[in-house]
Order: sequence, then structure tokens, then C-alpha cells
Amino acid sequence: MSTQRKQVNWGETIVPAITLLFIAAYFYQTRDASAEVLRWPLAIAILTGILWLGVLFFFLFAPPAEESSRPFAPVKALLILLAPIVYILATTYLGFALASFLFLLIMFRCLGGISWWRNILVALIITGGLYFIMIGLMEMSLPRLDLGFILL
Amino acid sequence: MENIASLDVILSGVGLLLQPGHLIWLPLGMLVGLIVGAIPGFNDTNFLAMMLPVTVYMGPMNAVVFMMACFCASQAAGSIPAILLNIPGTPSNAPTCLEGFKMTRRGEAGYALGLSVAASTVGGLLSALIALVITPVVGVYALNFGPAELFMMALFGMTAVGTLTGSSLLKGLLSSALGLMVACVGTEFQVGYTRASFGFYELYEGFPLIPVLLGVFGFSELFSLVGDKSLVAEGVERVTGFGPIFDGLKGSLKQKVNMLRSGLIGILVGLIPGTGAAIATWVSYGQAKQWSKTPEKFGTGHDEGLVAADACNNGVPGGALIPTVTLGIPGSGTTLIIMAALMINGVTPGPSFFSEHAVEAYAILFSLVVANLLLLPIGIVVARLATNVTAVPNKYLVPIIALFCLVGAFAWRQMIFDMYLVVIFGVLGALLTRYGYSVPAFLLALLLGPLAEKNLYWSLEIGGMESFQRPIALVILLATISVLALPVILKKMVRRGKAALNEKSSVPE
Repeated sequence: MSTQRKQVNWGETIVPAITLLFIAAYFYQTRDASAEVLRWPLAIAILTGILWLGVLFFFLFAPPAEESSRPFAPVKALLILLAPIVYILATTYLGFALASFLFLLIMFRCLGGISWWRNILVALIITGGLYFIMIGLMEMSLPRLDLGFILL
Repeated sequence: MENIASLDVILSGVGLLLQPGHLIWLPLGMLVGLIVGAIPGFNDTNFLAMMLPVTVYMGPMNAVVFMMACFCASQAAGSIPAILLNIPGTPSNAPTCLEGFKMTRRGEAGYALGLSVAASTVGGLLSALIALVITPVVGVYALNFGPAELFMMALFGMTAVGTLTGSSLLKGLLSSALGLMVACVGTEFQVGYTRASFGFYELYEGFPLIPVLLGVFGFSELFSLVGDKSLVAEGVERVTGFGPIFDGLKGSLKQKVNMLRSGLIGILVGLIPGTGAAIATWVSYGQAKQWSKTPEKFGTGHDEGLVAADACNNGVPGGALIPTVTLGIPGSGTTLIIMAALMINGVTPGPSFFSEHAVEAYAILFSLVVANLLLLPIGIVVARLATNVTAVPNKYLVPIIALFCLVGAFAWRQMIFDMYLVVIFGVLGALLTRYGYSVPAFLLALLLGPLAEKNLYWSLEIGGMESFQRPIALVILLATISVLALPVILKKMVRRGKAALNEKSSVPE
């Protein structure tokens, strides 16, 4: 018989924690709703609760799953998470075209694109293509930067 | 009925379609459809809706022929970004991502695209031919689908999820439950109460499907892609040219039953108004896994899963066309636009459409057949050009995919808020995948949740529990139970067979 102490596999708590937080926020938001409106979500929440307990019971102390063979770069992953948020915020002020161009240019450089000229060229082509399709052809109301003499 | 199905009328329909003035709109529609379908977040429904005012100048026949070709091509083209970039071109291409992108990572992008083109062509052709033969007859039965039957269909879809959840059933079911819970956000239909919009008016209609899809599939993949040098895994040789595409075409021939079954699922689900390809492809994918001899390979870049999803995806247009033409009930958003185009031009689809406009009706159905025939050569050329994407290094590809996901999400409703949703659901998708939860189960539940809730409520209000005893509802219920029981029965049969084999080999001669 194994005498090894079971260790808590903290990674397995992340998705259940998100689920729990979501359900708590959901019912806090709908606290003034009538029973009729909440019948279906309540049934789903009960089902989720049962499964939630099951997952914790079976996986919390289970040995961690085998590490993926694919490399994981934490700094670059953080960049992938934060850069789009900055891009979305910047789009409102800089307009779609300029923000997209800068987003691509900076990301190319951060991810290892050494040649500035190549980075600028690729960013220009992609941004120009998207601009032509989204604004020129589809006439979408994307945020644009008014420079006085030109609307980017 | 005799008049409708006479050879004279059918040939007149073919003749009408073959007039150069009408025929030219087919390749045009195909090209536009292939481009539009390949743009993530922007689907054929959006595009055809924009084209609607133009149809007044095109005339009813040209407009419908153009739209049918566009519909058919865009369904197939959605697989291109799904296979190459893990971004589903349309919501129905989500199962294609699961298998196709893994194949791309193994350096088999051309092969996967070849499989996809072949499966799309076969599924589409099958669907078009069946629609051609049975449209005048079968459409009437679609009217018998009430809320109880639609709820049962949703239940059937949920059961199919059980087959997609991989090794851990509990985690798969929790993914489904989380998807159902997320689907409860937004204004409910009974009293119009907005359930948990978290203060965002953008969530009044619930979480929009396209940004969620782009997040959990396209964006979530970037977290692991960023660590690699190129799309094709290191050490794997990238094969280009027409060779792998033709290998894919040949490979699909080994899966005739799979293609036939998936095409039929596409037609059947497409036939039911309000369901659509996004549900059909998951059902078909689940069925392919259940009937497969190698179910453990699903989700790892397996031909069978890819063929099932794409054959079914292109099987839907034919099915969706049947209730549109015969009953005036559009089976999907795109057929709704097609119906609107006909109505704008003074032609009203419905029960009398075949008796009043039999020649035009057959011409429309034949246009679907010809469009699917054209899909093969045009699709091969487009696939060959598309495989070049795998040569682009990840340092360029990752930011470009991120931008496409964000812009694609914006294109759907033109809201900046949807871009944030891509990032949020991207992180959720990455976490679900990392810890062994099922992204497909989550998505399918999100998709079917509102359908299940509404139809359960309506069926209980209208007929109580008795409404679930109607024949079609019972048949779907039986199908659901058999879907649940089938893997257990098959496993038992295999075990019994192996035991018998062991007994036989142990008996001395």
C-alpha cells in the first residue's frame, strides 16, 4: 500500500472556481427576479453544482495530468493577453487603422521580427487589406481618426 | 403532383438554369462565397443581407442562383481558416477546427484541405440531389416539428456531446453545464426580464456566438502557438503543392459511409427550421465518433472527424432549402435572405410555389447541384493557394490571427465590447483545454441552451407532458437513448467477441 500523502492539485481548482464565481455573480445579479424567470437557470445551477462536486472529488487529489509536449512561453503568453486589451483601448482614440498598424508592428517586434522594414511592410499590407475590406467594401462603422485633412 | 414531377417540367428547369444569363451567376457566387466564407466572423448571411437591395436589379432567377452558389461556397470555405488557423469561418466549422488544425500542425494542411473539399462536395451534392427528388413531397412533414420535437432535438444534441467529451465524462458534463449556465445570460422570453447582463447592454441578448467562438477556438490557441516557431510543429516537413490535396481527395473516398451518413444528418437537421448547420455538424461529428473503429483518435487530427463535419456542413443547404421552397419556412438565416430575395422580386415561396412556378423551382434546385459540382475544381485551386499560410513564421502569424479574431468579432455586431469578449473567452478556452475540459461541449451547450429552454417551456405550456408522447418526439427520444446506449452495447459486444476468441484459441485441436 502506498504511504505517500495525497497532494492537492491546485490547477484543478481553476475551472471549478471560475464556474462557482460565475454562478454566484449570476444569482447576485438576478436576486430581484421572479421564481418563474429563474426556474431554468436554477435547474442548470443545481446540475452544475452536482457535477462541480464530482469534479473536485475525483480530480482535486489526482496526480497532475502529463505536461503538454508543446512549449509554453509565459512572458509571450502574457503579451498575447495584454496587447489586445491595449489595442482595443487604443482603437477608440487612435482609430482602427493606426491602432491596428501599431499593434501589428509592436507585436511583430516583441515576438522576434528583427527587421523593421519587413515588420512595417507586413503591418502595412495587413492593415491596408483589412481597411479596404472593412471600411471600403463593407462600410463598417469602425472607430476612425480624424486628422483634419484625412479620415483614417 | 404529376405535373410538378413530369420530365418536361424538370428539363425546362434545367434549360432555364443553363441560359448563359443565369449560369454566369453561379461561378461568380462561388468565388464571392469562398472569399466571404473564409473571413472569420463575417458569414454569408451578413453578406447576402447586404446584397438584398441589389437583387432587385438582378431579377429573381439570377439573384437566387447567385445566392445559392454563395451559400454553398461559403459553407465550404469556412473550413479553410478552421483548418489553417484554428479560426472557424462560420459557427458550423467549429468541429473542423478540432481535427483540421491538428493536421496542419502535423504538416498535413494540404491533405486536410483536400479531405475538406471532397467531403464538402460529396455532402453538398448528395444534399442537392436529395432536395431535388424529395422537396415536393417531404417538406410537408417538416410542419409536424413542434416545440416538444425541437426540445428533443436539443436533448439529442446534448447527448451527442457525451461522445465528444473524451476521457473524463465528468469534466465534459461540467463543461456542458457551464455552457448552459452562460447561455442563461440575457433577456429571457417569458416576461422579458434581463437575466444577469452584468450591467452591459451588449449582453441583453446573451453572449454573442461569434466572439465566443473566435475566443475559445482562435484566440485561445495563440497562447500555445506563441511558443512555437511556425504553424507546422518543429521537425515536421511541410509538404506543399497539389499532391497532398489530391491525396486528401483520395483519402475521402475511403469514407463513403461516413460522408453519406454525415450528408444525410446535414439534410435532416437543415430540414428543421431554426436549427442550422452549427448544430448539425456537432451531431454529425458525435455520430462519426460513435460509429468509428478508432474513436480514441478523434480530437487528435483524425480524417473521420473532419470528413463528418464538412460533409454534414455542406449537406445543410439542401435540407434548409426544402422547407423554404415548399412551405415558405426558412430553415436558416441564409435561406431567410434567399426567400426575401424571391419575395422582393414578386415570387412567394410556399405550398403553392411548386404548382405555380415549377420550372423556376427546379432551376433553383438544379443550381444547387451545379454549384456543388463547381465546388470541386474551384475548391482545389483555392485550397492550393491557402496552404501557403503554413509557411508564414509564427512571429508574424500570431499577431495577425489575434487581429483577425478581434476584428472578426467586431464585424459581427460592430461593437467594441465584442473584442473584449474574444480575449475573455480566449483565456477561458485556453484554461478549459489545459485542464482537460471539453470546449466543444461548452460551445454546444451555449448554442442549444436557449433552444432547449424555450421549447421546453412552450411544449409544457401547450400540451403538458403529453406533448412529449408525439411520434416524432418519441422517435428522437429513442434515438437519444440509443446514442447513449450504443457505446456501452458495442463495448460489451467487442468484449464478448474477444472472450469467445480467447476461449476458442485455448481449446486444443
